[in-house]
Amino acid sequence: MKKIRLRLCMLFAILLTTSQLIAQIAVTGTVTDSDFGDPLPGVNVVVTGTTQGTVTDIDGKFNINVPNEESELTFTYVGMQSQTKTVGEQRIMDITLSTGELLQEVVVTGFIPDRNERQVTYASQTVEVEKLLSQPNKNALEALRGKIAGVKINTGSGSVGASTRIVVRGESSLTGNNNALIVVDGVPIDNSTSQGGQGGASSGYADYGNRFNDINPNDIESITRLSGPAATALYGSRGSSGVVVITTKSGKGVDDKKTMSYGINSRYSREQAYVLLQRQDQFGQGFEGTSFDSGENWSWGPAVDGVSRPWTSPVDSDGDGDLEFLSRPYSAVENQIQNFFQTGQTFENSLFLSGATDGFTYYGSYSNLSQEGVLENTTYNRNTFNFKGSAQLSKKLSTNFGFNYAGTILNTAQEGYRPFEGQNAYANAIQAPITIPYNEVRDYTSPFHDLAGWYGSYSSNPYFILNEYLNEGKFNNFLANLGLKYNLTDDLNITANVGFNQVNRTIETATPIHTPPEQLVWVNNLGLTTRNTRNGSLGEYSKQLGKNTNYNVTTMANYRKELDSGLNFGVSVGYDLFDRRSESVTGEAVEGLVVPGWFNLRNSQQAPRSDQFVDKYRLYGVLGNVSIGWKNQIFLEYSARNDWSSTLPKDDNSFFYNGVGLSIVVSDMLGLQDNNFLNYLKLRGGIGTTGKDAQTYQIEGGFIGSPTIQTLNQGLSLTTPILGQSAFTVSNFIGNPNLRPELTNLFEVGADVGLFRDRITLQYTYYVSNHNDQIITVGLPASTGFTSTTSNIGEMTNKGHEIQLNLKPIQGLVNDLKWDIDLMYTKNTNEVINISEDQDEIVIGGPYTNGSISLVAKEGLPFGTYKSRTPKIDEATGKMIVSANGFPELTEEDEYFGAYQPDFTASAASNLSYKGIGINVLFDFRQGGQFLSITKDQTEFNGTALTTIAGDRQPFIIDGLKDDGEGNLIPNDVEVTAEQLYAVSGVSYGGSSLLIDASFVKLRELGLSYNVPSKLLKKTPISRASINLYGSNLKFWLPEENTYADPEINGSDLAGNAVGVETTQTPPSKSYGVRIGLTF
Amino acid sequence: MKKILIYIVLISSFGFLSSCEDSISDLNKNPNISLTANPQQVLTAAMAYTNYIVDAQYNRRSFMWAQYLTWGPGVAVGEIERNILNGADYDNVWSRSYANALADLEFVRNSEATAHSGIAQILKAYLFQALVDHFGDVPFNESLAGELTGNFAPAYDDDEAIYEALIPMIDDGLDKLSAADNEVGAEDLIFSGDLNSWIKFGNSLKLRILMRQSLVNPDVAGAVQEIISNGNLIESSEDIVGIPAVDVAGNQNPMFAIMESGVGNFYIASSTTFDHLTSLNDPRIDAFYLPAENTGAHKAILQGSIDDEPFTNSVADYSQMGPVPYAAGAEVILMSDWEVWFLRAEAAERFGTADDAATAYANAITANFDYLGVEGAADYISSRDFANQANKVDEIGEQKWISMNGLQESEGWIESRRFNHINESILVDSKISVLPSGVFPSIWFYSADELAKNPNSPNQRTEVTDKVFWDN
Repeated sequence: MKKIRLRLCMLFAILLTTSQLIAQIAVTGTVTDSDFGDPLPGVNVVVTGTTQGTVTDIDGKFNINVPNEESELTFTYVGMQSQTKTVGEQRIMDITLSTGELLQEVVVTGFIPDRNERQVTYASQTVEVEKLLSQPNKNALEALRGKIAGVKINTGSGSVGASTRIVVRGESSLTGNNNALIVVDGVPIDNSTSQGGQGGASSGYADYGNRFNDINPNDIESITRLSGPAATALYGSRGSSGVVVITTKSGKGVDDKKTMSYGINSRYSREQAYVLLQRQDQFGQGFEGTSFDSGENWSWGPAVDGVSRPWTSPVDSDGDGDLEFLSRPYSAVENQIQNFFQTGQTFENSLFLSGATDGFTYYGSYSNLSQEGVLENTTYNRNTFNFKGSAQLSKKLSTNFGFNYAGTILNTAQEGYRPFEGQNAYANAIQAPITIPYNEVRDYTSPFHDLAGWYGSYSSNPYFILNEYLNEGKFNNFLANLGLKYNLTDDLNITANVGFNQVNRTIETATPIHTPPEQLVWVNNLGLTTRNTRNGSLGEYSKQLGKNTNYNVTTMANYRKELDSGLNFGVSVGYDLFDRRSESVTGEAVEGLVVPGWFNLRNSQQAPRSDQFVDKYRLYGVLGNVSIGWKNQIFLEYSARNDWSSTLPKDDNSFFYNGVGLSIVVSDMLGLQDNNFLNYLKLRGGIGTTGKDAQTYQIEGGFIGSPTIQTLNQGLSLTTPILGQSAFTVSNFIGNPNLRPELTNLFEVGADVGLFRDRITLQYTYYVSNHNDQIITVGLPASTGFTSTTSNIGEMTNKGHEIQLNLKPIQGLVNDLKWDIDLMYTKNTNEVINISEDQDEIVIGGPYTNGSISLVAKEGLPFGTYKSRTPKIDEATGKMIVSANGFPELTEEDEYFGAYQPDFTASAASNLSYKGIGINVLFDFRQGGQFLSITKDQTEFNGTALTTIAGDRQPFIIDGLKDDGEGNLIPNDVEVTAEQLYAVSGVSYGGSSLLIDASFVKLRELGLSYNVPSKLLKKTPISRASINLYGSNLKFWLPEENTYADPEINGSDLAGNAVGVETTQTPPSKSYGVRIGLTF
Repeated sequence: MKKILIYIVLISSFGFLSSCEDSISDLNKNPNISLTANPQQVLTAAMAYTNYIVDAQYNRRSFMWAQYLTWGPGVAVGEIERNILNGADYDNVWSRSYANALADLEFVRNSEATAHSGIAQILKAYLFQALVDHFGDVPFNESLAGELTGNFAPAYDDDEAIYEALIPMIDDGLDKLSAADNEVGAEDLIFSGDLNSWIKFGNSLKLRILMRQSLVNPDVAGAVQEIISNGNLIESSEDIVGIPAVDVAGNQNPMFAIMESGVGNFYIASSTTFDHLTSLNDPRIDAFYLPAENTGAHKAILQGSIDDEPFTNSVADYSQMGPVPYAAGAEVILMSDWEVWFLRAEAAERFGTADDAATAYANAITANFDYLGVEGAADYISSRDFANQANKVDEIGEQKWISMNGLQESEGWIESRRFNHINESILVDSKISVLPSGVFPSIWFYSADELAKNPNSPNQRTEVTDKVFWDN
């Protein structure tokens, strides 16, 4: 699309040049690219305020005649920042264009023809490749952090290939999916997350990531965020949670000239776990402050004394009949948790080929990314092939097409906070007493650290878990798209686009057969006792094969007409079809495995069990858009859409919604284009509605059959056949045949401002969205015979401000010196207005831990508010009320405590460059919100948290008041110990004591780059060369109370809404690397 | 050129064709569930739920309050041993009962298959009685109708009124069974389609329901006498209402399966029962309890006293549940022949029925010995000298409580409440009970989940000593 536009501009310019009759001054010059100093062919050079112009040739040279010395020349090139210069006395003008803000750039809008920035009536933000890939990142969503306003990005884990969740402008749905829709080259892709393992936040699950991860970041040209009416008018109800539009690179070249370039990009980086957990270093293994116990996971034992003591279970390691063991000083191990991790590394190599010839453009790439995680035996390997082309088939017909394949294999580790079932390496790691040296237990086959010798009576050797358990995911991701455009007349065209995305997955999960023998444990005075409490397994294995297919067809007719009076208007009408199919088949071994080490369904003790799942969905819509513009200064736009969805009741499956937008370029109306202070001011606003359909299969219930008719508790389930008989049970779900579409009302206003000749540009938007009649799964009392139904209830609002500020403080002061500062600020206020007549709250996650803390949507509070019991406070004195046993007395009812929602987020990026040398820095900032830290719960339980050494573990009296038995409050005088309070963490001080301030400042990126000047490369086949040293996540500044975990890594259920729940996930990594890019 | 245009048109029309309205509504038929089911398969599911509810929930949560077992080493002592209840612990039994077993039975009851419908009525009555016996007032008349009536907040009915309604429910089931014109087969996990056994179960269940009220409602005498006279009750081991188990995943004894998962079986013999059996010289002691694995000798402890035992002790140092009740293949008993004989002995004693109390009493004990595979029933019975017992009802209750150990623990706890003699002279205070001395828990708390979702629920109970209507 851009290419065609470029060609039109050029033709236009050439025509104008040839029609030029009179010219007083001849100016020549060369236009080069600031990054590489390369000549830029095809740059438009226009005498400002006239229609006179030319384009640069293949060597970037131009010559043009201007009327006088006061004339200004404007240089524009797609993808680069325009420049205007006064001719003055110069006759040779050498101009350097740089990439940058795209204030006049076309805006990607999806199905409707792209339009320029002035015409756009809503806020949208595009991140171009240069900023997105200022330095390499795990995936493109991670790379978006701090670079785009109005989004909230969360990661599921610091392990390889983990999922990333992106929410645009706050959660809009109480129980539905709040992840933004991801569109790649016009195709809404399957971005589902995949999990394996037992599947729970507590018992263990592996995060295999979302499919966005399969995109090679090097193939991305730009990422645009759309939200509000703009997004839904284009993408239908699927876009109601916001849309992230990704445009991949296409072939570049100058029309009518053959060009071709190819190149390689390689990088290598090393990753170190960024351990945020801090532990006490004064009290070692054992309990009650006096009792040593070498099998304990507790650090409630005696104070460390540095005296050598045995720390492994006595075993006969050499078969001589005597018992051996290892001893070490009873003292805290330095860098204990840091040493649990290994240094990870990432290699990435990619090749690309790009070019154009005779109206045909092409871009092809291959990339391989190979990563070793910071956890042992975790790996991620991704190969991508990408081809994209466009062709001008005739004067009237053009086509573009793309094909993309990504193959990913990852071996990851299970997450989850319950360590004692033995699935979760990091959860086991943080159970170690402070006296256990991780750098010595790596060899889990050593007689001192294997199943027999392992010190822990309750925990497992995490290296055994990492190396012997299997959590493997394989994904094959195919994406293809084909578009045709036919120009019926100069004003009217028809476009048709077909997109197809299929993801095949194989997920294997296995637990090895292991039976730990009875253990000998050292107790006080080096006595020995036996214990038989370690976790074993009969062996488990499951394999899932799945396939998700998305299919999308859009056909549009577009009419554009410019009238002489300065009016122009456009009409687009068309339809859109989206179809999604998912299916999977799972098999699992039953009652253990027979042959050790053979993970196969054929190795099941009893007949293996299988299950399948199918999901089908289709939506089609008819859409239209009318826009009227006047003198490129005022634009009024109306769009409307009607959708038909398969998920709504047959007679009521159609819904209509529409929106209107207005933009006024005030600066142009007032003739301020040349004003030195305010050179650009655009005001924009829009209002609209959006409908949203239901999840699939909400209309009717039925009967559940083979294999699992009901999960029970403690991991048991009722499966059929039962005693050889097949069984069906009445589904617990009551379908609702009266569902209506959800209704969202949206409103936004904003302004785009350019000051000091665009040295300062500002975009500001205020928005309000109201989400009503939400389709919610409603829990029913079991006495109805059912446990859930679905209903149109609930209302929620989001209100927010988004500010983006770009500064170029020294632009034009020093030749070739550029300083570019981007500041961003986002504030979103979310409120649940209403649930239903019968209910004022629904639980969206939990309850978690012994503290029974839940996440709720409650009327009047933000979505995802935490609720739990909490210590009772005497209002008169502000002191805690204490019960007879000296413990805090908890409120009878749950109370409510904030949410994960931040007060605001902000970022600051700086890019400084001089003659090819660049320095980039990115800081990311989040203020407010809380997260639930189960790391705190676990480390308080085991006596390693810093909170557990308050008062040196001497018995103490909680400063509170107690009932004297006659209803009077008197000062508390009952002694308690920290162990009594914390070893049942989350209970003594209520679940609310596990909430941690989620604020942070992060030094997200710091990099140094060098682009080799083309002069130096003249004698080589290389046309461009660059080298880049970079560091990511180098430093976090966290609130003092956060000695536990990264506030951005949480949520064990990424497709769901239970974010803000940190469940001892693998921590993030610091990364240091080097990248080399060569273009030939 | 024209070809390409045709392609555009084709692509467009494909979109239109595939989006015609009928086809998209068809897409919303859930392929993962069946929209129809036969009563046969649904009955099987209902029985499997009943199996789980009775054993993994009722029996497993009652054996400590009946003081057959007490909390052992390995895991911090549970609140239940302190007689502190938490409503959330009763979510599972509540929803498995209402939303699964009873909902399935209600579907079967409404089906055309009269025999299945009759069976469903009897099992429904069984499960509702259990709900009342544990919870008191529960939803009954308005329950199970969520889909039919849209009533999402069923009212709670008076426990006594529910009891009254159960007799006609069973009678309706019995009528259907007598008039059945269809066959029941192996889908009946309990009797494999032997309808006469179901009739015996129905009659016996009526006897249980009536006898449970005997202390608060002497008017049941007539009905009890009539049931005994009419006969056709559970009389022998063939009539035992039991759901078999086999050592195959999902088909194991539910209590065994649940206690073997996770931290394992850490319950040990309570000295309340153990010492009582010893004092009676009861030979069943070795069937009820295994000797300690580490010593080969029996070792029980005082109820609720595990914290006083050495920290380093393991379960292998104590007596645990015996091999007959605690096995992967142990059947779950809904109603036994000895239970019915005990009911008949009590009925004869209280109301003077066609039975001889002493014979019924002896039959009951013999049946229990036989089931456990223990010799010496006759000697034991004569050692009890029933004829000369001062309080024959108390003796019946005491022997009934003994015989429920490991097999019908829930019935053991329920009857210990009714036969106050057990509470007063046999049961002891749990060492860590929060209740005053000599006071025992007599009710379960309501499911927290139900209370949160049903606005017509009463407030959560605050006293674990509240009583069901029949508990005088």
